[in-house]
Amino acid sequence: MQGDRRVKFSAVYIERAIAEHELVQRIIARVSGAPIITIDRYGEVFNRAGQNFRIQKRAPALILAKKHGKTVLPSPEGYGFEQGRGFYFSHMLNCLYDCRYCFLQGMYRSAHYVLFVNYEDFMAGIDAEALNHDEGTVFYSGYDCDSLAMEPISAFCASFIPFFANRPESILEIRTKSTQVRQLLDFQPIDNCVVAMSFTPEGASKRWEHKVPTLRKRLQTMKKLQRSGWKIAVRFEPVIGEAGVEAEYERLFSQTFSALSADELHSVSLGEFRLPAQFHKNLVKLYPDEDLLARETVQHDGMLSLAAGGEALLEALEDRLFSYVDRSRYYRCA
Amino acid sequence: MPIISESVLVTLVAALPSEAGPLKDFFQLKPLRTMNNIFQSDQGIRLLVTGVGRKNLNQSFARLARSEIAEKSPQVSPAWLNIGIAGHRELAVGEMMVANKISCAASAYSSFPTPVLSGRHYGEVLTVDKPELAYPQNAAYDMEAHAFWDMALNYGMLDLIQCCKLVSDNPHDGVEKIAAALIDEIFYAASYEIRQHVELLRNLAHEQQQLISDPAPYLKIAGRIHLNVNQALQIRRLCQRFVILNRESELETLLAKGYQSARDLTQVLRESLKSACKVTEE
Repeated sequence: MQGDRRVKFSAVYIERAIAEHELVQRIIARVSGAPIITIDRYGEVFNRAGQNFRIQKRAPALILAKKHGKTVLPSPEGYGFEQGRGFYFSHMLNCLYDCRYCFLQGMYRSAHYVLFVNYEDFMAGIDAEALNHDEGTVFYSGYDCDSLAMEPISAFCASFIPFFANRPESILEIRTKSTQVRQLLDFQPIDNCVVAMSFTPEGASKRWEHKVPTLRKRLQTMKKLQRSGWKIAVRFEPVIGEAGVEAEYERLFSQTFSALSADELHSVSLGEFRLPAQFHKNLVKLYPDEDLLARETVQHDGMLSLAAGGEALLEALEDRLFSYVDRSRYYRCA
Repeated sequence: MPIISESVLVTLVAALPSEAGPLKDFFQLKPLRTMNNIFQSDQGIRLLVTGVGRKNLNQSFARLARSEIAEKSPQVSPAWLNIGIAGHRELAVGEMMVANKISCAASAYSSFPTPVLSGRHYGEVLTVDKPELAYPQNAAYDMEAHAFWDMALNYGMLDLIQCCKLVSDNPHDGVEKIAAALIDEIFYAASYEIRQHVELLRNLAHEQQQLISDPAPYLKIAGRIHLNVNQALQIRRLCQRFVILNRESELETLLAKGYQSARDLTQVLRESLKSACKVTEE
């Protein structure tokens, strides 16, 4: 993916009802060579019991579908920095990358990518929520996917940046680990869009963030965006507590803030590795041989985190972080 | 809790003896003493010859299940491959097609094998109850695939249940030309692809089996202490964690203390894993 920007799919499933949709037609033209299979509803492939995420991750397929029902949902408490009402929308399910800590592996039965092509319905949902809330609204993209990684296929930015450009009262935050920003750079920066990149220390990234562009490349990308006038944010998550982790983060902070201007950052956050207990259980079933998942955990309110992490570690990292960045730009991800 | 064997089977399913012949040759398959339609190699490949049509296939699977129960030694076969001849409107005789959709003409129900196998052609297999001579759809027409899918789901892993068809007839070369010699020729011409598919399925099945295999320290414990299902699951995972975290020698030391109660042992293993998990800054 890093070298060759053309994403390959083992197959492309298309819901019969949206086969003629403009975006579907455009995608079909881009994925020549992949077998195309007509289906009725994406769930008949994606939601089947007995699928193995790990096997499918070797060669995922793309499923083009229509999102029915609610397209925009309230974001979890403490998800973002902004004070306005937070919402998230998922035009895609699953991610091109293969991070071993990712909750998506424990949440979905399939590793195939689902792309909901009816962006017009997501936009209508965004408008409806914005109208309902006078205090300002923030819309997060990238909760169930990486919003930029599949831009050449999904045309997400190409569609949503012009949309938000006309709605300055609403903020769009794009969560990503991708360096796929060519499309963004082709637009004039808009004030109400934030590109938030997640980072872990280099060692952790190499170990657990499979297929993710290198730390150096991602920092270069963020620098490019910042210089072009885009608002950027840094998400130091998930923090994985282990021996030597403070020194690793000290190095990461130093690398990050020597590449990026801390004073111009939209926001910075830290967040622990944590996920619902049931997802962790599912992950262990998929990767019983994974060291990260064999470590001691603690459980609070149904959420699991590493016993080696916790409040003391986060506070220690925050202390170090505040020597680079002003506290007013910081929040701790819940 | 049963102790899980590391050996796995890939089961090939073919309808006709003339399809089975080349497969027996490719994989050195020998008949099983108890069943005249099952052939197996010592390399983890098994062949089930079912006869033509959905009914025969269902009966063959049922007989296989009964024989395994009778032998009290069910063999793990996560991977299943239906391979056989089919008619096709557009593909030439001898071409292989990997199924990405398997439909039943009678019920109009479709299933979707996970795209695991690579090939030159992919497409839909449409299972019909009598030979299709008009080839109305751009699909491979066969008489077993859909029943195979339904039955194999009871035994294998969904992602490792696969189907590929070799084209034996089309509008230019009709079914009347199909003979044992032609089938033989088609199968031998496709032997490389068939072997590749089987090899890939075997590797994937083996990888999955490795993941669920019992860790060696657990096997020692299970041989020494009576464990109920819940205790077995807990101790198995605790042992697995010691191994993954490179703390095997610590585990050996604990086991050498000779705990006889599963409850005590579980407690000790848990406590030991809890220790030394806090971050220590260098």
